[in-house]
Formats: sequence, C-alpha cells, structure tokens
Amino acid sequence: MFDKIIRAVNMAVLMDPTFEVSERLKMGGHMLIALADILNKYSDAYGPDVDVAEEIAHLMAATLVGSRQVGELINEAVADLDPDDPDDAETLGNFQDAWSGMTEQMEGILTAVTIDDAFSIEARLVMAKSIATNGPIMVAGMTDADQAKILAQAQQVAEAEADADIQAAMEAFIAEISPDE
Amino acid sequence: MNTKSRWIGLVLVGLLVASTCYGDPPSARPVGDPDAPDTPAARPAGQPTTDGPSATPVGQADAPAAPDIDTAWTHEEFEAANAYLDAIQPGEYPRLGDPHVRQDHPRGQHGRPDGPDL
Repeated sequence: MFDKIIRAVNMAVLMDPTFEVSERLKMGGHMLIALADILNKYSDAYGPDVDVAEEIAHLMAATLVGSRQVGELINEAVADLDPDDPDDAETLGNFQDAWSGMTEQMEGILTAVTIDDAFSIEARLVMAKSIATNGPIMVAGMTDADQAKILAQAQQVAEAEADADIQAAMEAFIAEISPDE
Repeated sequence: MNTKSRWIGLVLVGLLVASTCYGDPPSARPVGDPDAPDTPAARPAGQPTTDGPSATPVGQADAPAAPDIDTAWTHEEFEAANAYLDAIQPGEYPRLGDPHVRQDHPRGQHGRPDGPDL
C-alpha cells in the first residue's frame, strides 16, 4: 500500500512544472504526513502476535523516496526565493526545518538497519539500498553539522555490518556523501 | 524490536517536521474526516480516483480532532501530534493479508480481518 503512495506517477506529479511549486510542496507535505501516519499504525500493530517488521522495513525505505522527492522540490523552490524578502525568509526557515526533519528520519533508519534481531537481512538490505539511493540528495540539503553526524553514523553502521551486501550499500552511500578532498 | 522504539520516533518526528516545508498546518485535513478531500499524494491532482477506497485515508467519523499544529512545532506539539495519531482506532491500517501488502515472508499469519482494504 505504501508503495502506491510513492509510486512513480505520484512522484512525477510532484515534479510537474504545470503545477505551482507551492502546491506541489503542499502535496509533498501531505505525502510525508500520510507515510508517518501509516508508520505509526504499523508500529502500534507490531507485537508478539503481529510481526510486521518486514512491512515496516519496506515502509522505511518508502519514506526515504518521499523525502528525497520533497528535497528535490525544496531545491527547486529555493531558486525563486529572495532571502531579503520577509515572506521568503520565513519559507526558507521552513525549508531548513524540513532538512532538519530529514536528518532525524535518516538517523532513525540508519539505526533500523542495525537491528538484526527483528529485521531479516533482506529487510535490512531494502533499507540500506534505499538510503544509498535516496539519501545523498537529502544529506546535501542538511547543515554541515548534520551532514557530519549522518556520515559518522553511516560509517559506524558499515564498520559493524557483517553482511556484505548491506555493507556495500552503506559504503556506496558514504562515498556519495563524503566531502570532496 | 519494541514498538515505539526511539528510532521509530525519530523517523516519525522527522517526517512530520519535513512535512512543514510548505508552511501550512498539517492539521488542515483531519485524518478520519469522511468529508475530507483525498490526500494529494495518494491521488495525483487532476486525476480521478481509480484505486477505490485505497486512495483515501480512512478513519472514523468520531475520530479525535487533529491537534492544532503550527509550522514551528514545539516538543509539546509533537507530543500532541503523536497522541493524536495514537488515538486513531485499530482497524484503520491495511489488512496484512491484502494482496497489496507483501506476504512472502515466513513469519506467520498477520492481519486484522476487520481492516479496510487500503
């Protein structure tokens, strides 16, 4: 079901220039709220009798797709904003909050990749691959401090990982977000 | 894995914070309001709903009112948002036996037979 939310046609609508970017940002915001709502419900459902860990892993991966798309929208919107305009400055502040939220989201999912007593290797790999694919655009918008925090956590995850595929995905992510020498 | 582990909280809060990018309070469309418009992300603007009930978030007519969450959320407001989400009744999430949901893992029988088909 969550795959339907982040399916390509919806992501394409978010980037469709025939809609005002403000409207598309609103759509993107609603999408993230919907994903959070669904995650909350799966979390509530999880328990001894209802193991939805696999679903939660796929949902985690889907939230990264949604956030990456919102990140791309923010990048598009920023180009038209004037930091000296009070209204635009407020919007830029909202965008900074959004990148901050993505930092927390990324921290949570990086932690989830390490939880091998609940998630299968396949489930952890789904999350790791989504991080590698969608994470770099999110990280690019973060503050320098948040970028460093995510990089350090990703390096810890990669160093501690026993599975070669998951480790490779994390190393690909690290290579993308590491500062240029 | 415990429910409501810290990492899930991080992701939840992160998503909610990231959703403020457009500046409107997310409470503008209360979840569970049967008269509320479809979620834009679930049904692209300008397109008719083709997926049946799956395109519209479901809820109860008497679901609690969404918290009044401003764009600059405080910790308390996030707590209120989480309480609001927690108050949504079971049965609103998808049936896990639904063909839309992965069933290829070997962890036994899932699902809530009274859940809507999302």
